Amino acid sequence: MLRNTLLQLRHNIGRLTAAGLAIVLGVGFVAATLVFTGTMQSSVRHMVAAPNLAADVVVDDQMARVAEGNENDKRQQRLRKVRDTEGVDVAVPRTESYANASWKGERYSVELNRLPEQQALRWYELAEGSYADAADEVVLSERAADSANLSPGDTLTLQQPRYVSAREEESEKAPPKREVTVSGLVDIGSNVLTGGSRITVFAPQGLLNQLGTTEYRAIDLLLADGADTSAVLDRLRGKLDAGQYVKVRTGQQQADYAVKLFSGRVAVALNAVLLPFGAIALFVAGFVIVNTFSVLHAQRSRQYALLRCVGATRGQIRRSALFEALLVGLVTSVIGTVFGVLVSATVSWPLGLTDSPVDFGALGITPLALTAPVAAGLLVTFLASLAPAARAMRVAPLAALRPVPDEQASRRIGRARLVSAVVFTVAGAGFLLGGALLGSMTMAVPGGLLAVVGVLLFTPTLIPAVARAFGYLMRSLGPTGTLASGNAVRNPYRASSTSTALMIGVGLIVLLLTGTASARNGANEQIDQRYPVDVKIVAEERGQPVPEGVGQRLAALEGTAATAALSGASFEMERPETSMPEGASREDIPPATFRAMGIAPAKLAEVSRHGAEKLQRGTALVPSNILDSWGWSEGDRVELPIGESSATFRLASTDLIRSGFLLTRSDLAATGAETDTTEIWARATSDTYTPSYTGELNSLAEESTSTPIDLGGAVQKRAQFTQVLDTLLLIVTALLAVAVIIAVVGIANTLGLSVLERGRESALLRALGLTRGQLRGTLALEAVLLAVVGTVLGALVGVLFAFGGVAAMFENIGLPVSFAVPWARLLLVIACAIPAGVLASVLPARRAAKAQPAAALSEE
Amino acid sequence: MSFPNGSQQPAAAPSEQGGGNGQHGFAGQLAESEPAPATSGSALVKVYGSGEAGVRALDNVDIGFAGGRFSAIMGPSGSGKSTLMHCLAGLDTPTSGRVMLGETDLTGLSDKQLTLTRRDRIGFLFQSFNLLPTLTAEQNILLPLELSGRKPDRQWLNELTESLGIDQRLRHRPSELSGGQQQRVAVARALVTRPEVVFADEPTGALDSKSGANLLEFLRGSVRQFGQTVVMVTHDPVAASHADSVVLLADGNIAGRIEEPTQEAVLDSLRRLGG
Repeated sequence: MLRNTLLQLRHNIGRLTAAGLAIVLGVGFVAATLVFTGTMQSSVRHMVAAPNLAADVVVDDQMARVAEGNENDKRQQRLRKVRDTEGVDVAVPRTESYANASWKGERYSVELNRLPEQQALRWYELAEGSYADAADEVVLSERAADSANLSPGDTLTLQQPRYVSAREEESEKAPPKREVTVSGLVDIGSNVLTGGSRITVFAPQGLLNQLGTTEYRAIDLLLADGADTSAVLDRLRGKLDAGQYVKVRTGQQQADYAVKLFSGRVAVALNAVLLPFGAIALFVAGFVIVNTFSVLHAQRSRQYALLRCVGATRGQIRRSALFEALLVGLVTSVIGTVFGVLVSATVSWPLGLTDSPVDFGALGITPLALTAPVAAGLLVTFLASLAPAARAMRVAPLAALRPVPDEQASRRIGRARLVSAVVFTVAGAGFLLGGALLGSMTMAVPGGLLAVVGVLLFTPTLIPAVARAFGYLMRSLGPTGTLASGNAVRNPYRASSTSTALMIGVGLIVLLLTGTASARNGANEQIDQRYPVDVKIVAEERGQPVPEGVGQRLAALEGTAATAALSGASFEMERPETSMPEGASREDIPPATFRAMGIAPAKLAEVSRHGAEKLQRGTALVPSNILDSWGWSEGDRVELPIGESSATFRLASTDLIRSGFLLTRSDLAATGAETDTTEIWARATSDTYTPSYTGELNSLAEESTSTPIDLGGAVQKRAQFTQVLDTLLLIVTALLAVAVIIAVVGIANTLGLSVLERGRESALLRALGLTRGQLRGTLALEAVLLAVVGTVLGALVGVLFAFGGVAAMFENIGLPVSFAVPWARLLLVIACAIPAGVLASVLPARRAAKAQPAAALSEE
Repeated sequence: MSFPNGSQQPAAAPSEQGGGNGQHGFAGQLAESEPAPATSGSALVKVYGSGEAGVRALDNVDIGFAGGRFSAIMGPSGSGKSTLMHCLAGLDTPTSGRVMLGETDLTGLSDKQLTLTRRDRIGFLFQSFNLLPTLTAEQNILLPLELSGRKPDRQWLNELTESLGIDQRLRHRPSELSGGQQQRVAVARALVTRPEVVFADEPTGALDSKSGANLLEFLRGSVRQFGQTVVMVTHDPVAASHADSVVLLADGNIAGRIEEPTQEAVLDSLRRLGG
């Protein structure tokens, strides 16, 4: 029996190619994911551990990150205490901060770290140039510097960003700026995923002092020769009052701690994100496997019947069928795993995780990464072959004696299946709708899953019915259309599992497309609400005038509908007694600096989307957070000391500005304050993200190098949100593409197997005058029909489920439901089904067209 | 089942051109009174495989079948009778030699030209598996016309289906028809294009004797009334006795010819071939 199984398998190896390919792709995906995350993990581990391993002892100073008024002094105190401890040779605070850097007209955000004087504490290797020794020299991380086109000898300007330097109050003063020279590059072993695209600047302490960078999160210690490490650790713990926030550990301990803190989470999170896509791919591959074995066993039914005639038991037939499936599953899963390892090696290299595409040593290949994909592939193959094997087992011995095998009667959908399909679909849809109406995700998500199961149970009825409907359209294409539509639904189960596989992949993609379109829509509404002004241009140094000409150039841009220049003046103001914090007196709190801006109400109405009507003579618009913190409320009359003479204004809250006050232009002029054009506002012609307009705005801002300017407003927010969303969508679509590719392979598979089955039919058609081209066309149409049906149903189901999910999610977070169907993208997805179907038919059609009419017609 | 008494003559009347006459080797074997051949082969050789293992299915065969006649090709298994039919009908290409359909030389045609020739000028009947399971009886009958984009002649279709007794079954699929009905649908399909030649390969092989006899009578009727040319391959002497003449084939060569055959005459010749 075993020998017979193996012989059959060898005989049919060609027919298993597509199913094998499906398993290879699915298993490969899982293996690639596991190896890739493993590689990430070991790379992150290395990266996180390296700085700690360089030090003998590390004082982990969590307090350093908590901002408090006089924390700086406490930090210095702690550092002195560490330095004075017996056995400590060197104690260097590990400064890790951020800075804005600019060179060659480009601006970057960089990491700003301290470059220790001690060679032992430099945990990286010098790759080029030399280490910095003067206060105007720095070294940079090599890989990132290369990608930013920086090399030793180049100069760049460094400046602390406002949010780091101006902690205490909203200072109007810009942080200090320094021009420095790159003295060398170091290899810190970073990669894209560990922040390798970001440049790390290692600066000597002198430079850090000049930039005003003082914070650190750890102190690295080198011990004196002969010092007893554990004794020093004890002494430090005692002195520093080590506890919840301050820990003293050896370098090795600290490295282990850091690794535990970071890398585990990274791998788990990445696996949690990627593996479900692998599961989807394998699920879809399951459909291809079911089809393959069903067809294979149907074609072999006479052989099985003959075996039964000569004494094989049903169990033996079943075992033979399952063994064959497992063997196929094992071989293809192993191939898939190897393929996955190769893929992850190829992907890891450009990301900087490994040194070359064949650097297998650096890959995080764990035993799990090798066994789990094979096990998953075997499981899927086994489960998918159960039903076909059971059917093979039921072949009657008599079947062997019949002259010609009957045309396989189209099996009807079972009553139990139909009932459960209806129950699941209705109940699931009900829960989904209920969740959507009540805003309950806990109701909508299980409801959606239940409905999916229901729809999948339905497909053997649904898909042939839809295919028949489309088939009527295809009849208009003449005899080939008639033949194709008839052939496509000849075996409803085969047609349905073929199209279902595609329906799943397409459904998920459409679900995401619709979900993101709705999210974008909702976000745009929120952005419009919170940012009534599309474009705001201010000088990077707040309060400075916007350079001349910027307003005109903004107005000249094609996407600009209207612009307005705002005049602004600064003034100081004492807090009212009533809004003082508990126990604070007037002496403790310096007067606050505010900026008042003026705009003509008519102009404001032109450049803002809403809220302009509140601005009237005698009114000062103020953000609600200032109203609250200063103890005011809307309608209060407050005296504002702007200019020479104070004037009293009626307060009204606004979303138009984030700080200060907004007055009418004439009111501001009446105060006699000296004003400058400090902001330019504009309204865009488009309500949605327009890449070209955003690009023009950015280049307008970049060109203003003498007085750097900042961009703000709804256009920027929309662009940020849309870009993030589109990137996410692109990644997820790419991940789902594997499932879609497997589904298309499935179409080719079904077609290929059907072509073998219909060999005599093809020959008859050829004898009757169907040309080769027409025969190929018939198969292409059949494939297109299967593809279009799967895609259309997938799109439909995807949109419906997206509607439920989006409604539930928006209700859940308390936003007005904003549902958008991305018609253009949907049509594109459906249009793609046609070339995909044609592509899937190429190989089967070639085989079919090879049939010699005479050879195939002669009696067996 | 009786043949239509329609007044119309099928377009594919026996070939009246004598152009092929005398140019080919077979001409000498034909009696002077024979009409011009509708289909013929000269010096036909068909070898399957190559070298030592090669099988010579046709060994230099010269043959012609007259138009407006019901001819049968007979011979034991392996005599090359099916191969000969396949070559004459343009289903297969001979290794060497020449095949003529009327005035057309089939041997020089491309696959596409051959296909179109089969579609427009030849009708086929096979032993079994004659119909496409996804199409109704009517769609099956009209398939060759649909493939060539021609409009069916409704009157001709009605006459055919009525006389074949299948006019009430046209909307049924093949799986809903009996074996005899299926074969009659196939006959209608073979005749609906008014082909120059109908080739039938063991058309009664899968039928019971009564249905078989009816079918043969119908074919004979089509020859008598319309001058349809029918060439039938069979190994059944009863079937062969319905033909106007029988060509006997043995080991890839022509072994004899019987005009106006009777069952006994055919059996007699076959016995001699076998012995």
